[in-house]
Parts: sequence; structure tokens; C-alpha cells
Amino acid sequence: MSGRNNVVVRGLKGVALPIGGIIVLLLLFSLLAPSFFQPNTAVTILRESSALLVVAIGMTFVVLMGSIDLSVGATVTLAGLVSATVAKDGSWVVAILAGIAVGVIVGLANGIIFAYAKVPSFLTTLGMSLVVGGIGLWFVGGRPVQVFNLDFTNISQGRFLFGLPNIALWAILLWLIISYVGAKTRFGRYTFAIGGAEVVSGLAGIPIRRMKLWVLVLSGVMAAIAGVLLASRIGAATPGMGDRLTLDSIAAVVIGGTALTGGVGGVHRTILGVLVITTLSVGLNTMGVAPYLQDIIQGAVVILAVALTLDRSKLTVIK
Amino acid sequence: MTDVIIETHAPLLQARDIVKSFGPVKAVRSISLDVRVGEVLGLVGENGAGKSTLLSLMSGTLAPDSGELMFNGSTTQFDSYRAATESGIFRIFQHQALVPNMTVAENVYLAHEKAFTRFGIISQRRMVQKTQEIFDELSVDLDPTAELDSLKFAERQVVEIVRSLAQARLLGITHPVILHDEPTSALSREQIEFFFDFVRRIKNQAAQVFVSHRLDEIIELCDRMVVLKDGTVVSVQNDPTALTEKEIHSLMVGREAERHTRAARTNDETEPRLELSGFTGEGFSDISLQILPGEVLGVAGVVGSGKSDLGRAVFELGQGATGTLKVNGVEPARQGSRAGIRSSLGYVSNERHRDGIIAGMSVSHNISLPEIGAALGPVIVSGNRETTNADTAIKDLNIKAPGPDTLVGNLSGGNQQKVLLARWITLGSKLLVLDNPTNGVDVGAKAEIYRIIEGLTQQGVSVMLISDDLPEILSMSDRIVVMKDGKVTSTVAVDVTAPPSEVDLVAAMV
Repeated sequence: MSGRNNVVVRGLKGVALPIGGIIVLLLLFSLLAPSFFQPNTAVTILRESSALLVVAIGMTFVVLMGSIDLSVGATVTLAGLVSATVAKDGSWVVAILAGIAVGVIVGLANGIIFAYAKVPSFLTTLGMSLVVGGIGLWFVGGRPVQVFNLDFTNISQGRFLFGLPNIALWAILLWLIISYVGAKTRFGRYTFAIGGAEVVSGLAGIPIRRMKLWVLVLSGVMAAIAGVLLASRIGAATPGMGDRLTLDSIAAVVIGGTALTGGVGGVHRTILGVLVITTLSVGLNTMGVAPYLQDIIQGAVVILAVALTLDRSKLTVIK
Repeated sequence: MTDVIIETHAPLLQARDIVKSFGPVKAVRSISLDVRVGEVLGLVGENGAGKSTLLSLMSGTLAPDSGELMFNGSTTQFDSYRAATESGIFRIFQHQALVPNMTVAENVYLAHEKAFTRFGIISQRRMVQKTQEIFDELSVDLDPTAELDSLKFAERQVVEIVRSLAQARLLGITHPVILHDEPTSALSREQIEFFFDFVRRIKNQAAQVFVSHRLDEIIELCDRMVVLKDGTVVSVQNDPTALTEKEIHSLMVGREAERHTRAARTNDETEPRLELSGFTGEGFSDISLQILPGEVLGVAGVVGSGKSDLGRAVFELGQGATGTLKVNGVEPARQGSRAGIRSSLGYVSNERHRDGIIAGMSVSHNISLPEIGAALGPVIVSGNRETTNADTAIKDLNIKAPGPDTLVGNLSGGNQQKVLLARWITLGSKLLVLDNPTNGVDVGAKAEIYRIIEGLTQQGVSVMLISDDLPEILSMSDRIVVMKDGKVTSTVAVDVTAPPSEVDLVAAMV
């Protein structure tokens, strides 16, 4: 039994559960809803996964570091509203940049308060979520913003590749890049180290405060990109459109096998958690389950999935 | 405590031929031993000899594969630690099982509040009173209403033992068994005296087992000693005081211990690697000293003398300190640990678990941590290079790990300590600040760490060796500075042929 084999076994154990979950869900919905089992469903799942995947890969860094970002949902909404408003009678490039700028600003605000004023990330981002949500509603007077700018809607709705919606293409591209950053770069290693033992990391020369700031900026930017993609896909931005993504992204990270205590997991694995959550919601939709019942089922399944996949050996105390 | 009359008692707890395996590993193979009221039984052995497993078997945490435990003359079996405590067997852990934000009395009767409760309301007054009674009886000078956090480590240790006695009494047990599991590893010399004094005082109240890596303590404290090796009892000594540390060590490993003594410094460079003058910071003031290339400077002093603070401040190039610090004759432009690592400094802290390893990371990632942390390599981390470096370190430093991907948390203390040294050796650091580098490490690994340090200094690496272990300082240093209350009180050059005595050093320390 060599050390290297152990790592492989450990890795496989981590992904087996979510993959098993996805297979069970696919089988279950294929039996319950005849219209579920067709190629089109795969495309739908990919399309519906995209925004969540983009938010969740940003969230993974925050969780790996042992922190949390509860403001991503509000950031998705605000970035979507801002970019849709700009795109209404402006250029699509400026619309994208304006949306991303929202993410940078929210991330910087979160990061500075968390890393430099040392307010726990949980409280910082929960408060920020309210602030950002309020700004969004105020900005559009509580009304949805519709976009008829084809250049803008094509960002997500166009199809470059084998009929695959572009939104999925962007999401997968981001996932590949950010997974590489997480696994192979100094930035990625720092996140793991800080989540593993912050004091040790500081003594090893890692700039802790700067890292905390940049990880929250990354999370904000990813949420903003998701907001732009979502606005482009729907052709409109609505207040509250990102709300669900906060819980869903945290759940996806944990189901993917990243420990909430930090230091253990990986960005690449988060995609599995995203697929579990999306397969469930697509399946329920196909079955024609009433929306309020969907909420109940999804909430319960998220808790169940986290309960099944959470690596409790890393937790001494559950808070 | 010569006036204590030790009564002879029948064995309170007996183990008969107990065996315990973990998979293919036979941790305990047929051990029999007796624990009696009125004596302190010493348990010694190298890491992996089976000491901890034996304690777990006696306190219900593990169940033996075969063999039996006799308590008060009758066969018993404990399903859990809780069941064992209810019979009056208590284990005192290295890391104390006390709640820091509660008072002493609340801790003493933790989980036994029921005895002080009427109609659901706890009577604090009675709890404090009861605690005070026991304190008076055992002449413990502590305030039961003090918050635990305000106590010294040794005092907390005493609170934990008092808790065992108090809880045993509540259960109607007159003589509990107390298993001390390396209780002194975090204590300074004075605190150890205080602690030993207490252990001797309760000899007639309880049967005690004492486990320690420090053989001098076993000689000092124990009335009887059992030596374990590879899961068996290799020797029982009825008078440990008659033995020397060397003799005990040869019983433990089956060969004579080689006492490592450093050869004199061979380097003849005179430009100091580190130069401090008027160096003042949190915990130390007006320190002036030099360390030459290839030299080991020992720093002795009691806990709280500021020697650890000084070490940390040197590594951080004087972050938050005033006065001058020069590395290779130059005052560094920036401070902090990152700047320290970039100036070829390395640091092994006193508390491995808090400030040293990342337990959930692999050996290779732990070794590369400062190199990546201080951004000395490229932005993209090379996994191959990390693995090669880790393989080399495992081989060169004789780290007992299955491979570079093994989690550091799964290694023994001595091997974790070697991983910490490997960080700086891999990086090629020129000045190592080592704060108690052999803390909680068994005798064999200790000798290996000394050899590693010796080898490094021959290559010109300078070492600032901060230690509570005086024999270590005496045998490893070229020069020794003694610190007291944050200041250097004396500097001694060590002549290999006629080293200074421990007594002289202690005199300068207190």
C-alpha cells in the first residue's frame, strides 16, 4: 500500500458519492417522466447549470480558505441589472465590463471589511448581501429590465459549437481555467494553506490579508460574470434573480467534496455538486411539479446531500 | 516528602496478558502489569512501543483482543471511556480536557452538576464550597471561583487531577486510578516541580501511572517503572532512582544511547551572519548578540524569559521591534516572515501543532510551503519538483513516511519535526531559528535531529537554538546566552573538553 495509491483511493471516494447521486437522479427522473430521457435534456441541464457553476467555482475558493461569501446571490442580481441597463441602449462590451465592475466593487468592499477590519466573513457578506440587494432594487425601481440588444443576448444564447448554448461554453471554459488556478498555482495553494492552518501559513510567508481580499474579489467577479450571463440568456434582468444561487452554490461546493472548515477539497470537484443540484431542478420541472413543492423538495435534498457528503472527520465541532 | 507513610496495598488495577492489534500491526502483545494505590508507576518506551495503546486499553477507549482487566480484584470490561470513569479510572491528557471560560469549581464538577442541583437550579455556592474542601485537604492554593483561563498550565493540570478525585468521591470511590499521559511536555521546570509535588501528595489517595519521554522525570517521580518495547514489557524496575537515564534508555531500545556531543565549529568566517544590538520588542529588551556562520548559539532561559519571543522576532527580521538587526552585515529593508524567508532565515516554532505543520496537507506540500509562501518559485507550482524534493528529504532525513503524499497529520511527532526541518533544508536557509526542536520527540529521533543540525552547521548554516532542555543546549551549542526577564544575563563560550555545568546555567536563569 503506497502513499500515492492512498491518495487516489481518497480522491475516488470523494467523487464517487456525487457521481452516484447524479446517476440515481437521472434514472429516477427517466422512470418518472418519460420526456426526461432524451438528448435535449442533457443540453438543458448544461444550460441551467452554467450560472450556478460560475458562481460556485468562485465560492469554492472562499470555502477552501475556511470562509464564506453570502453576498453572491445579491451580486448576481445587481451585476445582471446593471449590465442589462447598459446593454439596453449601449454596447455589449461596455455592458459586460459594467457588470464585472459591480463584482469587483462588491468583492473589494467585502474583502477590505473582512481582511483588514477583521469582521468575520459570515457577517460581512450577509450584511453586504442586504446592501447590494437594496442598491439593485433602488437602481431599477423594483422593475425588471428587458434587453433587445442582439449582440448582448448572443453572449449566452448563441451557439458556436454543436448546438451547445454559449453560456455553457463560457461556464466550462471558466471552470477549466479556474480549476487549473486552484490546483497548480501559488494562488490556489495559498487558499488551501490558509484554510488548513492560518497561523502556519502566515509564518510561511503567505500574505494572509491580501489573499483574503483577492479571494473575495474573485468570488465577487465570478458572481458578476454569472449575472451578466444570466441576463443575456434570459434577455432581461429581474430583481431577485440571483437569490437562490447563494444557497445552491454553497451546497454545490460541499456536495462536490470541499470541507466547510477549509483546506480540503478542490475547485474542479465543484462541478459535480452543481450537476446534482441542476439535475434535480430540471427533473422536477420536467415532471411538472408545482413550484412551491419544488422549493420544498430542493431545500430538503440540499440538506440531505450535504449531510451525506460532508466529511465529518475534519470537523471536531459542528456549529 | 519523606514523611509520607506509604501503605502497602493490593493491586487496584491489573492487566493480564492483554493483546491488541491494529490490522497487521501488533501494538500490544501480551502485557501484564499491576497498578497500586500508594505508588506512581512509570511507563517508558520509545514512540510506538505501545504506551498510548496500553493507556487506552486500561481506560476503556480501546477494547483488548484478548486478555483481561481486573479492577479491585474482579474481572471487568469497559465499553467506553465514560464507563471507565464511572468505575474510577481517569486519564489526564497532554492537551487538557477542561473548559477555559468556566470557573475552576465548574470545571471540577463538569458533567456532575446534578449533585449540586435542586429543582433544576445549580448551587454555585455548594460547588465552590466542595471544591474548596478538597483544595484545603490537599493543600492546593487555588481559588475555586477563578476563571480557568487565568491559571497557569501546571495549575490547570492540577485542577484536572483534582477533578478526577472529586468526581470519584461523588461516585463513592475512595481510590481512583489516574493515568498521566505525558502531562509534563508543556511544562517549564518550576511548573514541573509544582506538579510533581502535587502528584506525590495524592499518592495515598489514588493509584497513578505516569508516562513521559523525559527519563529524568521518571527517575525523580516514580516508585516503580515498567519498560515497554515493541508492545511487550521488557523490564520492571522496583527502584528507578537507582538507575541512570542512560541505563533506562538502553533498556528501552536494547542498546546503549549515544549521547550526541557537537564537534567544535569548523567554519572560520568572521563576518557575523546575524547581528543584534539594542534589539527590543514585546517580551525582550536591549538584546545584543552575534551569530557567526556555522555556529550554534544556544539560548537558555525559563519559560517567559522572552527567549521564544526573541526567536520569533529574529525570524521576522524585527517586525514590531526596535534596535538594529543585521543579516550578513545588512539591515533588511522589509520586515515580516516573508522577508525573513527571502533573507534565508528559517524558523521551527515551539508549538508544532499550532505554528508548524498543516496536518491536512501532504508531506511534500508541507515541505514546499515556505518556498511557495514567500513566492520564491514560479507562479505555477511544479508538482514534480515538489515530489522530488520531498523524496530527497524523506531519504536524507530518514523521515518515516510511506511517501511524499502521506498527510503530515498521520506521522509521529519526531517525523513531523523532521518535516519542519526539511522545509528549510530544501530551501537552503542559512540561519535557522529553532525553538525547542526536539519537543515531544523520542530519544532516537532526538539523536537524529541533533545529527541533522550538526551536518547543517558543517555546511555553514548558523543555528539559534532556543531550548528548555539544558543538556540539549549544553551538548549542541558553541556559545550559550542565558536570558532572564527579557534580558541577556550571561554569555558562555562552550569548551568541548570542559563544558559548563547545568547548575551554573540554572543559576543565571533564575
